[in-house]
Amino acid sequence: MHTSNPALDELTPSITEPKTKAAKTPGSVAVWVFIYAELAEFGFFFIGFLIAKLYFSVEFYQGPAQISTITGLLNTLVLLSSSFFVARAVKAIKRGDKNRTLMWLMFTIAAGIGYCLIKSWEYQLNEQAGISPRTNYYFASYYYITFNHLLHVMVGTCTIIFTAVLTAIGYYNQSSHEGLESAASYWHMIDLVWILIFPLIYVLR
Amino acid sequence: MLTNLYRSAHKHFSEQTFNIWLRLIALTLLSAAIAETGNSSVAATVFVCLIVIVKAHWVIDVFMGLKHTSPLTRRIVKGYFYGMTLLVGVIVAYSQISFQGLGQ
Repeated sequence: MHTSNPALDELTPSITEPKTKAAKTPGSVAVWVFIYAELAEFGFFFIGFLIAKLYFSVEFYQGPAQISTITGLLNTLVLLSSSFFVARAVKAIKRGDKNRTLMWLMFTIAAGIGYCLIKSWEYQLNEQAGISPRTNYYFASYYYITFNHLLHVMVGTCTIIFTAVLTAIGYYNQSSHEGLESAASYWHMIDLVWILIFPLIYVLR
Repeated sequence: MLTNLYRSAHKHFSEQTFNIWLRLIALTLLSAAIAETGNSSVAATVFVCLIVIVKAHWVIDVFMGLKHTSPLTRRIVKGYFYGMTLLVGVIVAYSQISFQGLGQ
């Protein structure tokens, strides 16, 4: 379509030609509502932690030095790897490669279990050092946030186990895999929240 | 056989998600190194917050696959992380400045 005005001609294609359609958001709408609710929940935890940090500066300054950075680091590495595994599982199911999907889901499950074991080890180390949720406000906040996150990892691992079973029996395939994408999005949310928890609790003083 | 093995390895290592995973691991190790030094300066806080933003950005775009999807979902998730990281950075930096002001 051409007009007598060249400036208008330049604009015309962008108005008349359809824009490239954005890809569908992975997962169902329901799981995204759930993810937003979970992010809001953790948002309140973070705000609570920061308010407590302002009131009890000394306890929050000394706190990170008393907990194991190594276990925090290992958990971060495990969760980032699990996010990579589940992303590969989604890619594999999109290719219709059932065996690869199962393999990546198994790695994700192993990472989820590994995270729980490392967290138990960390709590055990704290106990040996005489640290408990009642020690001070820093440790009360630390246990509240990390235990809550641990519960989310457990729920996420059970969900991934369930999707692995459904994949194994052929319920998910190249054309229908929304449930797997939903579980993967939830798992990524757990990883994202930990990306913020790690510096907040273990690194920043 | 070696050529096939090389091709397979090259394909795997040049895959975008694998590359991002390596970068995420590197940034995490950097954060842990800062934690081990016990550095409580504002500069360290800003640096760690930048690392968080970069990591969240990669996970959201590449692992979650939101880069080419509806902008609303992507903006909500990224906005949450950018906003929350900014809040953490500002409060931790304020706490560090006032703590140093007390002569600790």
